[in-house]
Parts: sequence; C-alpha cells; structure tokens
Amino acid sequence: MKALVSKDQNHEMTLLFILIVLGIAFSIFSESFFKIGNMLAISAQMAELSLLTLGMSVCIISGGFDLSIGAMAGLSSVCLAVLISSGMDMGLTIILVLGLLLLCGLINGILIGYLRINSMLVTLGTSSVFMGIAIVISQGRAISGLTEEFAVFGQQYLGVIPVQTMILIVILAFSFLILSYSTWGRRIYLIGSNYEVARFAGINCGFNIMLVYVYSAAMAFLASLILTSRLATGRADLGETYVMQSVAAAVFGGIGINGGSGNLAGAILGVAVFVIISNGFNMLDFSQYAQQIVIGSILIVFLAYRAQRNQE
Amino acid sequence: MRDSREFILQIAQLNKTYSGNQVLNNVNFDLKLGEVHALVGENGAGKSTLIKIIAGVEKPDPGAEIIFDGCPAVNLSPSKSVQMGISVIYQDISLFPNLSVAENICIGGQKGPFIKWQQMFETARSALNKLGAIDIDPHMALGEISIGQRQMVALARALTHEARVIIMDEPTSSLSANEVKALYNTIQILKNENKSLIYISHKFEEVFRVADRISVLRDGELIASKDAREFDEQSLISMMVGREIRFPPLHNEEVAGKKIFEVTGLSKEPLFRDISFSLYENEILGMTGLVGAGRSEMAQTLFGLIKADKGRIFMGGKEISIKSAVDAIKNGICYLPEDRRGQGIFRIQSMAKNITAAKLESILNRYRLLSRPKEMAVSEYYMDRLNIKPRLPDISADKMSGGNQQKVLFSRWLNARPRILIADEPSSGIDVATKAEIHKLLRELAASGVGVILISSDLPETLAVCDRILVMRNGNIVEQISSMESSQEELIRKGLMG
Repeated sequence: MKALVSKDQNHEMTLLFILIVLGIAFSIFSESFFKIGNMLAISAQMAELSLLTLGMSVCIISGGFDLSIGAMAGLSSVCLAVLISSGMDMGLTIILVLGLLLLCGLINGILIGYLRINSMLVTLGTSSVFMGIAIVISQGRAISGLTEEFAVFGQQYLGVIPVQTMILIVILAFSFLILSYSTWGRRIYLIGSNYEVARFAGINCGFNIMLVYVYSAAMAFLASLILTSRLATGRADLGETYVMQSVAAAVFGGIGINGGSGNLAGAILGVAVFVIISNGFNMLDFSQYAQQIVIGSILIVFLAYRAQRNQE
Repeated sequence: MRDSREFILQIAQLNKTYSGNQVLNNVNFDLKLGEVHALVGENGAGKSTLIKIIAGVEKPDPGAEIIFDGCPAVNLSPSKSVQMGISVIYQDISLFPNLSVAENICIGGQKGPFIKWQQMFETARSALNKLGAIDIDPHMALGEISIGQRQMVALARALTHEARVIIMDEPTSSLSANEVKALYNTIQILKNENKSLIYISHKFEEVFRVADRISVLRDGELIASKDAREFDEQSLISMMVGREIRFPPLHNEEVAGKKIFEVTGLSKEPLFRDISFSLYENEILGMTGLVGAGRSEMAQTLFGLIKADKGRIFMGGKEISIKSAVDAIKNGICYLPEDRRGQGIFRIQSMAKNITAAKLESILNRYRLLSRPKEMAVSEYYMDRLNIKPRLPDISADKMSGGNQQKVLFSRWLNARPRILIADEPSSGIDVATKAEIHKLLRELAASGVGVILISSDLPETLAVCDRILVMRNGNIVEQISSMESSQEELIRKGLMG
C-alpha cells in the first residue's frame, strides 16, 4: 500500500539522483563546475525555461496544452522593447504589457474552457496570430534601445543572487501553494483526471480551465521580461525554442501527459536536469548539437524506464 | 491431477497479492469442456482478478499452477492467452465503435498484408448466423447497433477466433429482456459447440438459468464450487456474504409530511416533456422505466448539466433557478450518476480527493486554503460511516472495488450537504451486501430530512425501497404509484410496456 501512495515522491527522488550523478560527473571533468558562482549562474539560466515550464505544466495537468507560450513571450518582448525604447515609463510599460498578455491568455482560456475547442488547435492558431502581431510591430527586426533601468530583471543581482533567480523562487513558491493548496489547483487536477467526471461533480470546468491559460500567459510574460532584459533586445521569436523544451521538461519532471498527475517540484527538477547538462557541456566545450542529442536521449531512456516500471 | 481431457482449464494454488494485500488466497478453480461455470461473489471478492489472471493481464504470485488443455501455461500474457483460445468479453465490451461489425469480428484474424473484404463479410455473416443473430448486418458500424447486439458481435468474434474458453463479465447489465433471452439461446449454442464459458453475474435468476456449475468467491477465497442444482438463492447469498441477507421492505410508515421539492412542466425536447412531480419530507421517490425513457436526462437537467426548454423548480416552496451544476449544489440538489466509471469516480485520484471533490469548501482552513488534516478527517468520517474498507484515504480509487467506489460517491454527495439527492441506478453492478447497505443509507437520509429520488430499473429494489413510484416512458411520466397500492408490480409493468 505504501508503494502506491508514494509513487510521486519516488519519481522526484529518481530525478534528484540523476541531478547528483550529473553534478558529480561534471565536477570531475571541470573544476569550475561545482563553484558557488556557477551554481548561481545555473539558477539564473533556469529561470526562463522554468517559468514557461510552470505554465505548460499547469496546462498539461488540466488536460490541455499551451503551444502559444512562445509566441506570447515574443509578443510581450517586442512590446516591452518598443514601448521602453520610445521612452515610456518602465512601470507603466510592464503593467500594460502584462495586461496585454493576460488578455491573450483570456482569449485562449475562453476558447478552450468555454467553447471546448481542443487546446492544441486553439493555441496553435492563436500562436500564429500572436506571433504575426509581434512581427508586424517589430517589422521582423530585433529592437534595441532598452534602458539601463530595464536591465534589472535579467542582468543584475540582489546581493550575490541573480534577480531572475529571486523572481523564479517567489513565483515557484506562489505556484506551488496555489496548485497544491487552493481550490483552483485541486479542481485543475480533478478536471485533468477526467473532464466528464469533474462536470458531474459540479465543478465549474469552463472557468477553472480559463484561469489555467491566464496563468500560463502570466508565466510567458515573466519569462519574456527576464529574457528581454538579459538579451537587451526585443525579438518576436525569442520564445519559440522554449515551447517544446517546456513540454519535455514537464514530462521529464513527472507531469502525466494525460492530465491530472504530477507536481511542480518535479517539473522544476526536470528543468534543472536539462539546464545542468547544458551548463556542464558548455564548460567542457561540447557543441550545442551534442547537447541536444544527449538531452533527447536521456529523456527517451527515462520515459522508457518509467513506462516499464509502471507496467509492473 | 484428474483426467485432463475432461477439463479445459485447471488452476491450482493461485495466490495474488497487490502491494501486500492478498486478493486471491490459494484458489483452485477448474473448467470442464462444454460447461457454463458461473463465478459469483461480492465486489472485491476477487472475481475480476481471477479473470485478469486467466486472460494474462495480471501475473499470479509464484507457485500457481495453470493447466490449459493438459499443458502447463506459464508466463501468460494477453496475446498468449488469446492464442490459446481464451476470450474475455468485458462489461464495457471493448470493441471499435467506428468500424463495421464485420471488421470487429474479423480483426486480427486474417492472414496476409491486405484485408480480404469479401471473405471478411462472409465470415462475419456465418458466425452471426451460427449464433442466431440473423438480424445484425455486418456492414453496419458497431456504434449504430444496440448493446445487446454488440455482445453478439463480441461472441461472434470469439467464435471466429476459435476461442475455446469464453469469459463473460456481467453480460446482461445493460440488456433488454428480449436481448437477455437471445443471449441465453446463444449460450446454449456455444455449449453445443463444446465451448466452455465462465459466467460472472450478480443476478441470481440468471446464474441459476445458465450455469451448470457455480463457484463462490469470498474475500479472495474459493468458498464452494458445486453443481448448480445443489444451490438455492438463499444458500448462495449466505455463502457470498457469509451471512443471511434479505431485502426487507423499507417503507416510511407515516403519512407524507410537508412538500419539500416540486417540479412543474419541465421539458427538454426530444428527451422528456411536461414532467411534474412533488417530493415530500421523509419520502423516497422512485423513478423507474426502461433504458432511454428519459430518467437520467431529467435528473441531469435538475442538476444543471442539461438546459431545460421550460419548466419551474421549487425548493421548500420557493422557486429556484438552476443554470449550472454549481447552482444545483448551492441549492442542495445533488446527483449521483449512473455511469460510475465515466461520470462518477476520478480513477487516478485518491479516495480522499474523490470524497471531497464536490465540496472543497468543507476542507478549507482559515486562510481559505485546502487543509490536509481536515481532508483526512472528512474522508475518514465518511469511510467509517459508510463502512469503506480498507480505511486508507490515500489509496487511488481505481484500486477499490465497485461497491467501495459507489460508497465513495455517496460520501462525496453527503459531504455536499444535499437537500435533494438523486441517486441514478446506485446499485447496478454492486454486490448484495453493499446494495443492502445503500438501501439502508437512502432510508436514513430520507428520515433525516433529505429528499431522496431513486432512479432504478431494478423492480424488486424499487418496490422494496420507494414510498412512491413514478414510471417514465419515452420522456413522459405515465404512472404514479404509491406503495400502499396492492397491485403495484402489475401497474409498473403496465406502465413500462405501454
């Protein structure tokens, strides 16, 4: 009986184990890997993918997908850069762009939650719309001219800790709390386990699902805030590569692809494994492409192992 | 071992443990050539597990001996068991609704890379004819034919694939009376073909009708395995539950109290129309009718899942408006759905989460966040009150028997503090003991002031439990019968048939 209950924890233990093995391996081959400075750098590198993965994970738990997070991040990045470089106040810009993204999320949410259109199709469509708008606004160019002040989100430190790490910690704590301890979070799990049963249990599925996509839009906004600040440019395509990575990290982290299971701690551990591999390989001067091969292989092996174990 | 030619399947010393829980305990089971062997027992007695082991879906604990047709069968897998000629027809007949009848019958059986359509339709036709199902057209999509006909298709499939052992799990649970009759004939035909059948059912009438031998499972042990003629209904029940159980009439003796709930002119074309009825305090109102009479749809309308065209609903004399299930629950109307797997239970979630799902407000702490201690307390309270065992709130619901799952659903709605509880076929596919417990619970609820509406196709149940009975046919209420009337059974039958 105990084994049944703690299956989830086992999964996170496995991930932690992989992390430690990777950590030891990289420390042996590279002296600079296991230094506080590098650890903090890793945490900063994690921030963007982690935030997007949080959004994606919540969507998957609710039984859907959000393929538009990349396009939303791009739109947000372009808008931030255009408005700030044109001299608008940073605080006001942030509020406006956040509002815009929440609106994007609301559109996704209404189409998916209330009109019951398949989430993958909806977000594929809206993704194209958001990306199109972002390209029109930016005329397809990278927009520079961001202020010094704006560098705070992606380039500066609070003491020794990178600002984006702080943002990630706060958002992670908040997300963990609402997903595990709010009625909304619980309902998301229930809807994701079986939509029909949730409906018959009197759960307001439309509203709760709508909020999922608003949440994921908010995460896309935060990720783009950090990315835009770190790169000091606004680009329409800056979120695209993260979409599939966030799905991979979520699944790797134990978020059940059929909905209703997994938790955010696992998803963040999944991101950590990916980022540590990438960081360690950079230190060893491996190419980007080799990294992709290794990450892909680990993902497949791990999923195969898990499928095997679940059968037993 | 006995003469192996007489037995197609022999199982000895079968044990099965799920994470420390012994669900089968030293079971010895055998099946003769050409016999119908009924397997009875309460939910959770181990019937499904035994079937799954025979089908190769589950592996037995080491030490078990399974002999099929004289040869030891080791390391059974689903495909191996099919190859050997074991065919299982599950309750929710697992076929492909979008494919034709012929494809469903022949799939996996033809050799070569291409489908031979002509041959396929001929094979299907002859298999169906052999079973006496001449009215089924092999060209039809499976989804377009009735459940009873689908069962025939499943049997024809087994026949085509040269199955030698056919296992039927609750085959009649959604069949009409005529379809059941047809099934009995088919079973006779299969017996004449020297096929062996394992027949699982909760309905004794059926078991005595078809079975040559009956085996009784209780708490994972095989209690008895004897010739069907050596049992009678009482002895079978007492063996199953380990004690005598009867369904005493549970009527409310007092004259109806005040009106607590009223529906007038409720309509939703084409499902039902002009439904009007009242519910009085301490009363259990029965709603009976054939499948498709519109009872469930009417109930789902009261629960806010279907929008009514017109009609008014009154709670305690005041008119209420129900636009969603959220409104319904707010007004105290709760609905326990008929389809436990598809509408009732969150199978991958824990029992506790299933119990609290409809009223998360009941487990909030002062910061409006979910409180685990409160959730445990609420779950354990209901698990005690409804006698749900094992009392482990963190176990996922799909590890529990159907009876326990049903009790979990009752807990869910009790926790939502119902003023009106509509229970839709709450005892279908449930063992006798749990059934009796559910009847008692319904009566207790009614006594405590909850208005209870029981939707049931089970006539003895309706008669035993309900104080007043509405009969629905084709979306209309055609008959209203009080339990005081003498010829109620006849009245109901008349209402059903029209």
